[in-house]
Amino acid sequence: MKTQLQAILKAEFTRYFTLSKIIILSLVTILGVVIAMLPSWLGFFDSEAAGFFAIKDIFTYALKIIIPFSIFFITPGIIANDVNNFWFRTVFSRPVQRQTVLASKYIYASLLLLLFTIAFCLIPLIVFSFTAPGIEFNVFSVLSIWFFAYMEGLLFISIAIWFSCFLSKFFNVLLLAIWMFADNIVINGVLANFFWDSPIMGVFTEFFFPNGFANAASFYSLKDSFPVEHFFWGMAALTFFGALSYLHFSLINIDRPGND
Amino acid sequence: MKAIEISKLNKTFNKKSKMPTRALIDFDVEIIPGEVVGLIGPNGAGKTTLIRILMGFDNADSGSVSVFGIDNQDYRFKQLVGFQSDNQYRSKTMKTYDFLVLNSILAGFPNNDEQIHTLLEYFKLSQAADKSLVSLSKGMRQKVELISSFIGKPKLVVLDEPTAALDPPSVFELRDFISEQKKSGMTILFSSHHLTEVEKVSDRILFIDSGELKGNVLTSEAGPGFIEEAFRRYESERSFL
Repeated sequence: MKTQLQAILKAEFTRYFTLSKIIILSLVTILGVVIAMLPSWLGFFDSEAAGFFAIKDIFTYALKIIIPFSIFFITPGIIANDVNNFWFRTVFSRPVQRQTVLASKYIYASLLLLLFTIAFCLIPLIVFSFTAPGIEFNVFSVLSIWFFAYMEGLLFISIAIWFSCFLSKFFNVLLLAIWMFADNIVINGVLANFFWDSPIMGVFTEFFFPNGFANAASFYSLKDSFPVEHFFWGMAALTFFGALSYLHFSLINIDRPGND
Repeated sequence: MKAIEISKLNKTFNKKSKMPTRALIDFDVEIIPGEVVGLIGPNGAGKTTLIRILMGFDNADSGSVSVFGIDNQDYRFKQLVGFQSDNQYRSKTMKTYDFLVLNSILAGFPNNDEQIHTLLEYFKLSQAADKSLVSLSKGMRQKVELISSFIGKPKLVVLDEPTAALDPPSVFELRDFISEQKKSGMTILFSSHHLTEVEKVSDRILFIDSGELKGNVLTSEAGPGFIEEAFRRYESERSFL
C-alpha cells in the first residue's frame, strides 16, 4: 500500500503540478518578497510608527489572504475531474483501495498548500527580518500562528474534497466561494452581531462554519498563549469534514458510463 | 473453480424516470479458466455495463459476480485481473512509459521494466515511450491501454472493444498476441463489434441484447461465418440460434 500511495502521489504531482502552477507559485513568491521589502523602501522604519509595528499581525493577515487563494487554486475538481477524465477508471482497475487514493489527494493538496504558505509568507518574512532592523522577531510565535493557519487550510481542503465528491469543478468553486463568503461576512460578521447570545446560532456556526483554527490563530496572535479550546474546536471540525469526505468518496461512482 | 461466475445480475438505469432502462436482466454466465470469450451484441445491449459491473466500477441492483472465487466487491480480486478500457485517460504531462510503470506498480509489480519494454516492442510502441499520453493517436493510445492490461501476471484479462481504434496490422498483432496468451492458460473476456475477429479468436461467443443473454455458442461447434449469419438472423427474427 505504501508503494501504491507513493506511485499515485507522484502521479498526482505529474498530472496537476503543471507549468501554470509553478508560474503562479513563483509570482506569489515575488509578490510576497516585494510586499516584505516595501516598508524598508518607503522608509517606514525611520518613522515613529515603527515602534508600534507588530509583525504577527502582518503575518496573520498574509496567511488570511494566501490560504483561501491557494485552496481555490489547488482543490476545485480534485475528485470530480478524475471521474470525468477516466483517471479513476485507470487507478481502480487495479487492486487499489479508495482510502489510498483519498490519502494521495489530501497529501498532494496539503503539500501544495505548504508550498504556497512558504512562498507567500515564510520566505517574505525571512527577507523582511533582514530589511527591518530593530523590529522584534519571535520565530516560535510566528511559526505557531503559521501552524494554526495551516490547520485552517487543511480544514478548507477537507471541505473542498468533500464538495468535489458530488460537484463539478465550476460548482465546486462556486459553493466554496459562497461558503467562505457566508462564513466570513454573513455568519461571523452580520448574524453573529445580532444573535451573539443565541445557543442555536452557536451550534449552527460551529458545525457548519467552523472557525476553530482561525480563532486559534487570532487568539495566539493577541495573547501569546496556547488556545486550547479553539484548537480542539478546529480539530473537531477537521475530523468531521474529513470523515464526510471519506464517507462520500467511499460511496460515489468512481467511473462514468462510456459507450455500450 | 470458475474464472468468472455471474449470477442473476440485474441493473436498471434511471429508475425514477417514467422510462427506466433495464441494462441487465437476470444475467447468468460462467467462464472457465483458460477460455477466450467474445462478447457481442448491438449498441446499447449491455456489454459495457456488464464489464463495468464485473470490474466493480458500478454496482448491480441485485445478483453476484465472482472472479476465481473472489467476490468482486472485494478489491483484491483485481490482483488477478488486467483491464483495457474503451475510454482512455489522457494527460499532457504524463508520459507513456511512466503511465505503464504506474500501472505495473499498482498491479503489484514495482520492478517490471523488462516486461514493459517487451510489450512496447511487441506492439511497436517503443518510440512512443517518451511521448505524453495526449500526443498519441487514438490507436496508439488504445495499444497503451492494451499493454497495461497485460502487465504483471493477470489470470484474467477483460478487454472492452480492444480493436475499435486499431488499424488492420495492429488487429492482426493483437489476434496473435491473444492466441499466445491463451496457450499460457490466460482467460480473456472481450467485447467487440468486429465479428470476424471475434470468431477467429474466441473459444466461445456470448450474444447479449437488451440486457439478456440471447446466445452462448462454442465456436468449435459453429462453422465459419456462423456469427455473421446468426447476427443477421437475429435482426429479422429476434432469435440468435
